[in-house]
Amino acid sequence: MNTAAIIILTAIMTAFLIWVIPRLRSLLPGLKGLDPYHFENRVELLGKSIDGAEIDVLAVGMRGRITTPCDSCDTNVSVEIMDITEGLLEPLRVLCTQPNMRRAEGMEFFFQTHNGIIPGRDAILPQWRTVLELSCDVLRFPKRGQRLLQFTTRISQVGTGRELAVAKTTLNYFVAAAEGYLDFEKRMEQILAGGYILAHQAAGNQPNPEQQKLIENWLNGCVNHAAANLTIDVHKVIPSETPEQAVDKACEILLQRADTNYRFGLIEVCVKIAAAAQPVSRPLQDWLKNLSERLELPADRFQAIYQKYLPLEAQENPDPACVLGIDPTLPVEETLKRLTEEYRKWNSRVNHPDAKVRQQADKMLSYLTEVRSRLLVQSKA
Amino acid sequence: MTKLVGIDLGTTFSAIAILNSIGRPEIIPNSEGERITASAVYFDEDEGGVRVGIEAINSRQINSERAVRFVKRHMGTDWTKVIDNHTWTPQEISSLILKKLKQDAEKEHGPITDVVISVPAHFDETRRKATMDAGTLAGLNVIGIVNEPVAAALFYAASHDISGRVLVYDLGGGTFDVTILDIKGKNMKILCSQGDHALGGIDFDHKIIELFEQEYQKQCGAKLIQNDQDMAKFEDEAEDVKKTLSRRNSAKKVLYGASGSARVEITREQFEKAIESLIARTEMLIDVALDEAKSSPKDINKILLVGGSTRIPMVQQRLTAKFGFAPEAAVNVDECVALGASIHAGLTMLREKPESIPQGIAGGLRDVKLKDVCNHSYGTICAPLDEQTGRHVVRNTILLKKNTPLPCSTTQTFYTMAENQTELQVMITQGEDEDPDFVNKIATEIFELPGGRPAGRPIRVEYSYDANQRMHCEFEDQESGRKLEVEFCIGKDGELSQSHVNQQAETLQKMKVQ
Repeated sequence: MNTAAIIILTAIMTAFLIWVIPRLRSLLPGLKGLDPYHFENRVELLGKSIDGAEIDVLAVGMRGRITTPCDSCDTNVSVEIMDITEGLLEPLRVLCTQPNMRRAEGMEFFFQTHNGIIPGRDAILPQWRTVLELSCDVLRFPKRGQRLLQFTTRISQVGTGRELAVAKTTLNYFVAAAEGYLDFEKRMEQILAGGYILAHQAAGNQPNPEQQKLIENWLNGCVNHAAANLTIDVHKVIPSETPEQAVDKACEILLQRADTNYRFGLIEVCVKIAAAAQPVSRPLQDWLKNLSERLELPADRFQAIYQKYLPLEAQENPDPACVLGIDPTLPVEETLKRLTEEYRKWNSRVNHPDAKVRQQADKMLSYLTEVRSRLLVQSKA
Repeated sequence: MTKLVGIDLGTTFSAIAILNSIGRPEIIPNSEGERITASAVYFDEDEGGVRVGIEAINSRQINSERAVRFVKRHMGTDWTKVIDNHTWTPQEISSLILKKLKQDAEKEHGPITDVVISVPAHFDETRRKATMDAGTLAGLNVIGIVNEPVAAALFYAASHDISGRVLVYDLGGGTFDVTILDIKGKNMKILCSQGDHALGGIDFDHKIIELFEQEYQKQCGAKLIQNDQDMAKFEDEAEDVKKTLSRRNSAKKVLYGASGSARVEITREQFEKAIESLIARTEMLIDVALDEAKSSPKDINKILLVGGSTRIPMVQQRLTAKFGFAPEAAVNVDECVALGASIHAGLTMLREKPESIPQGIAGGLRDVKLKDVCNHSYGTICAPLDEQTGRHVVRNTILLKKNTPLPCSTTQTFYTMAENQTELQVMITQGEDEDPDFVNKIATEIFELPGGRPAGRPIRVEYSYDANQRMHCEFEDQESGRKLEVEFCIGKDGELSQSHVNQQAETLQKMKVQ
């Protein structure tokens, strides 16, 4: 009896399962374990040579069952990437530099393309089909190093946006080349705060409206360039007790963390800020020169910036060391040589079509002559 | 018979010379019998004509508003002077001076057309072209342009037996040039030229005017110069004092100003102190030229003085002190440029139309050889990778370097920056700077490229410069073979267009110049 009952029960259950499983599959498309044709995606890491450079390329593919609400359903396919290295509860965005691979707002990576019409309600894509080949150099990851990336491939109905199939997979990827955006943002906070401190110092910590505008424009330019929205509490980022200490810390940070381009841009804006409140005192002239040295910028480049943006008439008792880069300890012969080089440079500018440049050149020539005459008198004495 | 004529179109004085039947240059005096003509123009109120020369200088004190002097300093700029509702450009005013020289010379020699006009060595392409336009407006065919110091050296070498490295010190009425060249018999090889556009006799005169002002203020307690008319008057007085101080230790003058008269005495010492900074500027330019010629003062065998301002004793003393020997004043400093320009006219015609040169002249010029150099650097704006920042930066890249012997050409390959780049903005620059803001962009063109190509397509750029100091540039897209050619000719970048020149020439031909 018991045996017969067990056999009957088993038969009933088997029949039930045979009947119910296909129905369950259509009701729960995510139940992979139950469906040998479940919808899935994969990511392959390929190395490709583009213009002679080896670049990592991610190939995203998909296959499996796609169940649609109607026959001849028009569909899209999309791919999203998240960085889940810190865990699934704290997913981090992966950004993209290509505008056509971003969400409408922000820089987050999002790719969507037309997938085509699926004829039946229960279609199966039996082979892997590549949805996207993505060059890694367009992606911006949160941090450098080993990262766990989650790729979500989604099929949706055109028009309604209804999700028809979704699959997730992960990839361990080593971010070597570009700096992570979180690292970058942290660094940007510090270097922008450093730049702000120094720019303010160039304005004597009391910027006039023109100087304030210069500082703001420059900071906005830096932020836009970094493509991030940063709000910085300068005193929190670089705490200091005195303005001198703040300058010291700012210089230290900038030297360690800012690239040369940023430091060039900063010294240029500092010189422009100084020029916006004339006359520029001798201590401020010396401070600018000293700042350039502390930021380890090449002397000739600083000279070019200084001469271009700080005209002689804007300076109170112009210092030859700042204007011409003449070291007072240099032997007379070498100083004369330097003056000759400067004279050659400015003399070629006196023919410039812009009257402002011509006037500046004329003034520089007179100044160079004056410095030379003074030097010769001193050397004779 | 072809007449080979050279014109020195100076800031304060101009002169015209012609090659005689045996190829020797001769000055042609003006209708007043003077060998040089003041570069001054006065627009007559009553007769509607134009006076040029000493008459213009005399008339200028009556009505300075209708007079123009030192127009050469404005050549190639947008400076204008409005007289009787007509806006005069520097080219047009210069053409009146040239017309006076031409018509006076024609009285003795018959029609004159082909000429070489001299310009300061530092004149840029725009100013050179403006000078050529002035010649065209005066009804002349300008067959060439020669640098003033080169012209002076040409005359010097053609008329003296010399060898060695020569420094030509050309301190004229409004400009200063220094040129270093090697001379061996009648062969000349220019090494380099440097110049200052705002340094000449008139700047020395202004220093004397400053001394006048100080003295007048001291004696009469008022300003001496109160308007342009006063300035015109005292510029002439100052020039007179300057000339006296070249011969004597002091010069006396009675200054008649609005607050009465003042008797002033300017000593040579005072004058020398006042012009010290200007002389120092000439010395700095000499240093620059020596440096470019890779020479030191001891390498220089002779110094040739050119221009009226070299008569100032301090100029000669300072040169003697610097080089250890006295400069040479073996040629007439006011005439040698025009004389040399006429030799240059002969050399140009010998090169271009040898059949038109009479045998006697050809024989006279046979041994004269001149190897000139490029006076400026020429380049283009591009965006190379900056080594220090690792980013592309907009820079001026020099292709043809200053002081390259003429004729010369150079080729460099640049690459397109963007994918599917269909045009390239081509800029031709003149200047020594890397910073594009400090160079003179003498031509800007759009070069159309085929589309649908990746970045990095090669563009070959060739610059060439001929012996007549004219430049030619060619840009070639190497893959498609497309070319863009730029010739520096009439109609470019703010210069006068050919039709405008012809139209203006017709109008000016009708003007009576005396």
